[in-house]
Amino acid sequence: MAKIKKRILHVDDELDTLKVVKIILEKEGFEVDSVESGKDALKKVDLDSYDLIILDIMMPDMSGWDLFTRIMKIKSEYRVIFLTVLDISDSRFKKLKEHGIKDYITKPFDKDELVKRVKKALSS
Amino acid sequence: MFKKTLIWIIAIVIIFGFGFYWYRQQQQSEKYTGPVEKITVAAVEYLTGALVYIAEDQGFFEKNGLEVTIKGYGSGKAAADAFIAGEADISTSAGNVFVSYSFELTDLRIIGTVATKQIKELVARKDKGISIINDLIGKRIAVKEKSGAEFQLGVFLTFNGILQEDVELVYLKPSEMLDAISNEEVDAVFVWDPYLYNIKKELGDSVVSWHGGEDFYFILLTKEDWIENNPAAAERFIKSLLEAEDYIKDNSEKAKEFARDRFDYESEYMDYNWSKQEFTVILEQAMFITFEAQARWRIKQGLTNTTEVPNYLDYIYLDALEEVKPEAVGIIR
Amino acid sequence: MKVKTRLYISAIISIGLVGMLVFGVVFTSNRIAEEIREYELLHDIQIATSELNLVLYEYLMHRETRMEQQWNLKYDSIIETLRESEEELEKRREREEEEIELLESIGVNFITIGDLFAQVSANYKETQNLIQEETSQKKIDTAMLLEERLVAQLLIISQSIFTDTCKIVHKALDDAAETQELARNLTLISVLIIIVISATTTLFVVRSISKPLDKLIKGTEIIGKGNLKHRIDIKAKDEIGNLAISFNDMSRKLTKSYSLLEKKIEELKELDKLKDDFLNTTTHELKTPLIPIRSQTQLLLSDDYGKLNKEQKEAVEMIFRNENQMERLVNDILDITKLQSKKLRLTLKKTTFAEIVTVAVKNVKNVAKQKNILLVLEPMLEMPEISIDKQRILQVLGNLLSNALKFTPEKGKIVIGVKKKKDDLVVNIKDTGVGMDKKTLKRLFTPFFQAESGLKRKYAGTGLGLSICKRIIEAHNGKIWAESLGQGRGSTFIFTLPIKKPNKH
Repeated sequence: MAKIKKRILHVDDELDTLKVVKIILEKEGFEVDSVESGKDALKKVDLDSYDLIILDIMMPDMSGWDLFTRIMKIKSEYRVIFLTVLDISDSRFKKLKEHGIKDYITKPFDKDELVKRVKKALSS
Repeated sequence: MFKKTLIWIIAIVIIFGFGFYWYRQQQQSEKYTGPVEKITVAAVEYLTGALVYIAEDQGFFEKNGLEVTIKGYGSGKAAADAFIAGEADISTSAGNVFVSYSFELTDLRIIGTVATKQIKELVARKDKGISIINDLIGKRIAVKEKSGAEFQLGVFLTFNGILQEDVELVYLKPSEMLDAISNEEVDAVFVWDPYLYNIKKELGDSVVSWHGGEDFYFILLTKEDWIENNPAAAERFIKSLLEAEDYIKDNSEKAKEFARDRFDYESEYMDYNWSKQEFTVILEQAMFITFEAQARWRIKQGLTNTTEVPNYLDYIYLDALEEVKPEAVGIIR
Repeated sequence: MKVKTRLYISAIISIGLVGMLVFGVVFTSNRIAEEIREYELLHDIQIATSELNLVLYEYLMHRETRMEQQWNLKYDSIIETLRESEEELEKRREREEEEIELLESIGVNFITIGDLFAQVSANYKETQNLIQEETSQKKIDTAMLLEERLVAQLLIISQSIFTDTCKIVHKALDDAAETQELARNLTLISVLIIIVISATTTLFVVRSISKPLDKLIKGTEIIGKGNLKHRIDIKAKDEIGNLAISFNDMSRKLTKSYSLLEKKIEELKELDKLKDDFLNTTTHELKTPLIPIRSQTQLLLSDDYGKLNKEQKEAVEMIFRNENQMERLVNDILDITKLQSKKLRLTLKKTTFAEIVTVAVKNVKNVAKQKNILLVLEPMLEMPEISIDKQRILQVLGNLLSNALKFTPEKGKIVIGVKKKKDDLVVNIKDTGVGMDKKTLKRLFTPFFQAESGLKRKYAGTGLGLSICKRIIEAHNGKIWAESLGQGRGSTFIFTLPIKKPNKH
C-alpha cells in the first residue's frame, strides 16, 4: 500500500529559501508546494488539500500576519507555522498560539531542526 | 519680627508711663512751695467749728504752706473775745457776735464762713398747758441773752402772731436750760444742739417742740490790717478750709467719725446731728439782710449807742474767697 | 496712568476730603464758640440785671448806704459788660442786627435808670432833711410824691431792662441753635459728599486695578495649565498692562520653543522609525542569504547530494563554519544595534534568581563535561525575588559562562556564586583560565574587542558578547566588571543587579 504523502504549502518571497525548504522536506517524504506570494496562496491553490501551511512573515505583497488571519478566517482548523527571520517575543507567540499557530521557526534554521518541528506540527 | 514688635510695645509703655507720671506730678504740684506762714486761729471746740479741725487733721494747712495754731474755746463769743484781744489772727464765731462788735470795731473783716446752718427749736413742757404755739402766751421761755437765738425767738414769735411783751423771757446759759426746764423753773426753752438734743432726749414725750429757724452764719473774723498784710496767707487759709469742705462731702462717714472723736460726742448724737450740718465756706448777699436785721434789732433793743446800721459791705473782704472759689461769692458787686 | 499714581491720587483725595470735613468742623466750632461767648456775655448781663434789681429792692426797703453802694458797684460793672457785648456783636454786624438793636435799647435804658437812681437817692436825703428840719407838711408831701413817681419810673424801666435781657439771651440761644443746625446739616452733607466721592474714587481705582489683575491671574492660570495660545487681554498702559505684555511675550516664546521641540521630537521619531525600518530590513536582508547557504551546506554535509570525498567534505565544512560565524556576527550586530538604539525593552518579571542561574548552568553542562571542567554552583541562600528580564539575564549568564568555558583549559574549575549585598544581588563567575592583563581588562567591554587579535585567533567569537552583556546589565541599573590577577591566573566576572525595581527604558 502506498503511504499517502503529507502535503505541505510553503509561502515565501525568496526563491532560494523556497527551493532549499522544498529539497529538505521532499527528501523526508513530504509533498511540498511553493508559492511566492500571499495573493497566490489565497487564489491559486486549494488550501484544503494541505496538511500543513508554512508562512514567511516579511513579504512585500501581503504580510504573513495578514495571510495567517485570512487563512484562519477561511478555516480555523488549518495547521500553520511561521518560518521567519523575525524574532517573536514569548508573549506574542503565546497570543498567536491562542489564535491557532502551531509553531514558529527562525531563519536561518538547522535542517534537522526544521524536519523535527514540521513532523511535530503535523502530528498535533 | 516678633522682637521688633516687642521693642515697640515696651517703648510705648515706657512713654505712657512717663507721661502718666508727669501728669500726676502736675496734679500734685499744687503743693505750695513758698515760705511757710504762721496763723493763730481762735476756734470753737464743738461741731460747728469742724472745718478748721478737719483741715488740720487732713494736713491741708500744711500742704498749703501754713503753720496753723488752733486755740479752742467753748463758745463763739469767747473765741471772738480772744481774737479781739489780739490772741489770734482769725476767729470763728456766730454772725450775731460779729454784729454785736460791728458798731464799735470798724476794722473787723469777714473773710468767709465755716458753717451755714444751725437748727433752733422751741421746746415746751406739755404739762404747762402748752400744746399749740399760741399757748406760749404768758409762759416763761428761757433763751440766751443778746444772742442770735434771742433775735431768732423774736422772729419766731412775730411769725406766730405773738408779741414780745406777751411772753416772759428768762435769760439763761444754754447749759443751764436742761435743769431749768426739768425743774420747771421755765416752761419752755429756745435753744440749739447739743442742748436741744439733750433736753429732748431727757424729757422725751413730756415736751413738745417747734422748728424755730435755721438760717445762721458761723463766720471767719479777722482784722483789716492783718488782712492787708497777709492777703496770701488768708487766701491759703480759705483754700485749706475749702479743701476740708470737699473732704467732708467725699468722706462723710470718715469725717463724722473724726468729729465724734475730736469733740467727744456720742455716736447716737452724731447720727442725729451730723446730717443737719452745713459745713460750707461762702460769702452771700443774704448775710447783709441777716446782719442788718440783727443790727436794727440791737439798735431797737438799746444794746448799742449807735443809731445807724453799719454798712456791712465795708466789713466783707471778698478777695481771698474770690481768688480760690469765685462761685462761692454771692455778694452783689 | 500708573497704578502707583492712581493710588496716590485716591489717597490724596481721601485726605483732602477728610481735611474738608475737619475744616468744616473747625469752622462751625469757631462759630459756635463765638455764639457761646456772646451768650455768656448777654447771660451775665441778664443775671447782673436781676442782682441789680435785688439790691434796688433792698435799697427801697431800708434806704441804707450799703445798698446804694452795692447798686452803684453793680451798675458800673453792667455798663462795662454792655460795652464788651457791643464790641463783640459789632464784629458780626450783619448777623446780629436784632441783638445790636436790643443791646442799644438796653444801653439807653441803663443810662436812664442811672440818672433815676441818683435822683431817687438825692430826693430821699432831701426828704429826710425836710422831715428833720420840720418843714411844712406840704413840702414834705410834694417831696414824697416826687419820690413815689421817681421810684415807679425806676422800677418800670428796671423791669423793662430785664425783659430785654431775656429777649436778647433768647436770641443768642436761637442763634446758637441755628448754628448748631447749620453745623449738623453741613456735617451731614459733607459726610454724604465724602462717602460718595470716596466710594466712587475707591470703586474706580479698585476696579481699575482688580479687573485687570483678575484677567492677569486667570490668564496666567490658563497659560500655566498648558494653553500657551492664550493671550492676556489688558490694554491699560500701566504696570499691570506691562506685566500682561511680558506674560504674553513669554507664552509666545514658550509656544515657539515648544513647537520647535515638537518638530525636533517628530524628527527624532522619524529617525527612530527609520532606524527601526532599517533594522528590520537589515535583519531580513542579512539573514536571508544565510538561509540557503546554511541549508545547502547541511544538505551537502548530510550526504543528501551524494557522498562527498575528503577534500569536498573539508571544503563544505569550512563553508559551514564560516556561515555559522556569519550568523553569529549578524545576530550580535543586530542585538547590539537594538541595544544601542534603545529599542531594547526589558520585560521585567519577578523571578527567583536561583532558578535562572540553575538553568544557565544546566545549559553549559555538556560543554563543560566535554572539556572536563568542573562547574561549581555555590549554595544560594535567602535569595530575594528580583525584577529582571529573564531572557536577557539568561543571555548574560550564558555569555559569561561560555566565555569562562572558552578561556579555561581542560580540567579547570569554574565557580558561580550569588550573594545578597545590601540592596544588590552580586553574581561572581570565577574561572581558573588564562586570565587577563591590565590592558585587556580596561578594554574588555568595548564592542568588537577580542582578547586576541588577528588571524591567529584560537578562540572564536564576535567580540560583541561582553558589550551586549554590559548593555543588558546597565539597562537593569546594575554594574558589570572583571577582575584578574594577571595572565594565566584566572579571571572573575562580576555583575550586580539592584533588588529594587530598575528603571524601564
